[in-house]
Amino acid sequence: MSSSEERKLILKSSDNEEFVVKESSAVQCLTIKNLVEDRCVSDPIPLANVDSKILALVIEFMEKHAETTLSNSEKKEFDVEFVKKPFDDLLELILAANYLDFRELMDVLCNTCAKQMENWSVEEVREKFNIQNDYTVEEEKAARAENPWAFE
Amino acid sequence: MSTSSSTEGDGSDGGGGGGGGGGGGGGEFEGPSSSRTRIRSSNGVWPEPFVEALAFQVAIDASSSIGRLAAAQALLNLFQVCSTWRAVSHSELLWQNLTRRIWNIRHLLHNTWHEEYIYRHRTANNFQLGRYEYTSLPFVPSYRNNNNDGLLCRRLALSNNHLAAGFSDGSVHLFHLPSRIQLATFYPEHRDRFGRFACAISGIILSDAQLVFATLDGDIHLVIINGVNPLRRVHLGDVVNDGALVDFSGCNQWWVGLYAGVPDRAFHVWNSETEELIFVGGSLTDPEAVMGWHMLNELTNFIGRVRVTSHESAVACTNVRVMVFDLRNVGIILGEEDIHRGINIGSFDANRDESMLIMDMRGVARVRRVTTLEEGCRFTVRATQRGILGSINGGYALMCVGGVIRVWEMVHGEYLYSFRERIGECNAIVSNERHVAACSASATIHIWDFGAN
Repeated sequence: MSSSEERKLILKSSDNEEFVVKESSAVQCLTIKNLVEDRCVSDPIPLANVDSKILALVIEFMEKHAETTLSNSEKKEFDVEFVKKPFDDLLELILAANYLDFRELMDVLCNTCAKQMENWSVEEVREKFNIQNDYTVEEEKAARAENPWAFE
Repeated sequence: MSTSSSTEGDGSDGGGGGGGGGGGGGGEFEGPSSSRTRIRSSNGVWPEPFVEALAFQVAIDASSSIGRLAAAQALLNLFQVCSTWRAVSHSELLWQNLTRRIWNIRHLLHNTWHEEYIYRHRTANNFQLGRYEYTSLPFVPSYRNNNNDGLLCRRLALSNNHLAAGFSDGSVHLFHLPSRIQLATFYPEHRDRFGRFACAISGIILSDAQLVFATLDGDIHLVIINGVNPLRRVHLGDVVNDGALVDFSGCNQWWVGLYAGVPDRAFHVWNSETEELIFVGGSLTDPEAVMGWHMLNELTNFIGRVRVTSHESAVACTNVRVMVFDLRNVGIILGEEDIHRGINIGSFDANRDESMLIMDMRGVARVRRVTTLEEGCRFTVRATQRGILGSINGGYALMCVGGVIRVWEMVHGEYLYSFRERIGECNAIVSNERHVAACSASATIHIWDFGAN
């Protein structure tokens, strides 16, 4: 099948922007792959949880990783540059990767987050991920005391 | 992660810039928009698969950069973030993946993977701190020694629950570690031998299921531990055509023999499941051919060593060269290097995790990756070079120098401590993640147990 005949899908972001992508690229996302295999593809496919800016980034990643002419090291080089983004954008990409069930993207983002978090305090993690500490003081102490083996 | 404040981070909070975004994939992407509302992330609820994947990666990163023991603290700090993130600590899959990756353990010995991880961590911590129980095994030496030669321990091997000691008279003594009881003594099948020490043990492969040992003349014997069938010879050596089998190692998939005496027959590889010899070749020991023949009548210094990793590769050395070859594609050499300062063969060892220990003749020991030969760390063993024996497990390098066993960690090469016991001249040493065993010249077998209680 030539590239001109290759099947295309239309993805629509939450803010109603439409993106045309090759089906072969899009099925890296299991959410989309399941729709294709179950023949439940609508035209366009609405992605209510992904806005256009993030969807464009996801598509950039998926298309690069679908290129069969690229070596693994070239894809890794791409990944290194791809994740050079503000942390907020990485978090949005994580949510999109989870929603789309895009494992490869999720792994790259996890690795990136983990490296950035290397010297973060617990309080910094909460701030960056916008997490409320739901421990009481007693619960927090108990949680720390639960695993003395790790701090021997 | 740490519990102290840090200024590290992406620095992106409150960044300006327009909305950006584009169509059709690709396009210009600007910085974060101050007008962008973090609708989804503002509620602080993160998908559990992501949190679990993040926890895994945080632990692996800490293990790689600081050491295996640092993984637990990094992980538990992550679980302190909130109760939802803490809930991920109940994932057995997480602990299984971590135990496999960090401790290279694939078989569960405890009730849960969480317990297994804690046990491995605490045992490694005991190694770090030098906390052990010492014992010497009650050992009944054999008397099948027609030449009145002294009994010399040639090889030691450890499994989770057993220890095997092989001697110059061909005897292999099997011990049950938890009870310290000597279970059995095995001898190679009788046959005509080429040389006084033709039946000396040249390698042992031990698991809790079976014992395999090889002798200098190339015979290989196998017995199922606690099985009903007796010891049997699975390979009949051919000294004339193969030379002397100077070292023997393996795993549950492969047996590898290192020979010296006949050109281009340095390596023999067997499929351990079928017991089929699948490869013969290699010239690593060609310069040592004469010494190989001498060993049959006079146990000389080490000629070479071979070790098998869990990643289906084998690494071997002589006193000047190290070579790594693929076992899946037998005959493919993955790397080789001449060591101009020479190699102290007695201190050469490799673990299942793909690290090897090479000490040169000036006493500089290097921990290197098997597949890439890349150096991880180095340390100096300040001693005369004669008679130094070495062994490594997943995280620690042990050197027996003048009857004293010294311990270094293998991430940064930091010297940790020396064992309190002085064992005199040492003939063999072996270690795994829990035990260290050594045999001294008096045929005393010493055991140090670092297992967590």
